[in-house]
Amino acid sequence: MKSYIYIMSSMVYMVAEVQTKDIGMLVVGSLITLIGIGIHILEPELIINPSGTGGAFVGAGIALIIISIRSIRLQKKGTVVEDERIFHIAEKASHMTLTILIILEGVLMAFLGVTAFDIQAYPIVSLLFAITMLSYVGFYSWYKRQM
Amino acid sequence: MKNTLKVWRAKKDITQEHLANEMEVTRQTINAIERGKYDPSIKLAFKMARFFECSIEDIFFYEE
Repeated sequence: MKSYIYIMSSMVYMVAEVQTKDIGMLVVGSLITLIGIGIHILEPELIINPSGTGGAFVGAGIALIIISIRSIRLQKKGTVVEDERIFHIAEKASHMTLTILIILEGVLMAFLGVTAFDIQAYPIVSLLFAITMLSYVGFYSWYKRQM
Repeated sequence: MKNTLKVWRAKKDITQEHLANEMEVTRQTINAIERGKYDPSIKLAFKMARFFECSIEDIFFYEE
């Protein structure tokens, strides 16, 4: 009974030390990974490409888990993970990414409207997703070097 | 905006890491401020001034 209380109190202490955001990310990451594994195993008829979708879910989930565990470990060491400069860099990178996406999507909409060119949605959405990620990471590292 | 943060840090004989921990920011932020690449917020500037027991103008100054 004593050891149970000790374990429970140490868990409460550990959770209290860690930010709610990181716990949320850990839970969401685990859920997304489980959903991905579920899609991959069960292969529901509703999903056209179960292995691709499952893989994407598992990848995103594991990335979230790794990021949150790294953040929790750094916080435990007393290292500051985020501060005003990091938020400022993220703000600028987000703004530039949004600007690029709005321009790209506008051009794409105009192109599709004018030409009535029939293209599949999945590759276009995947391309936009890739551009979003690359643009954000690129601008983030650029501003990090500038500031 | 220019600053004399490096001088104040040398006066206290503390590392960037130590100052960063005191200010609750990353070491990279202190480094960026010292090199004049990043202007801190008013809150951080006040914290620094309080830490070095001086006024904000003693650390930071604006030049046209």
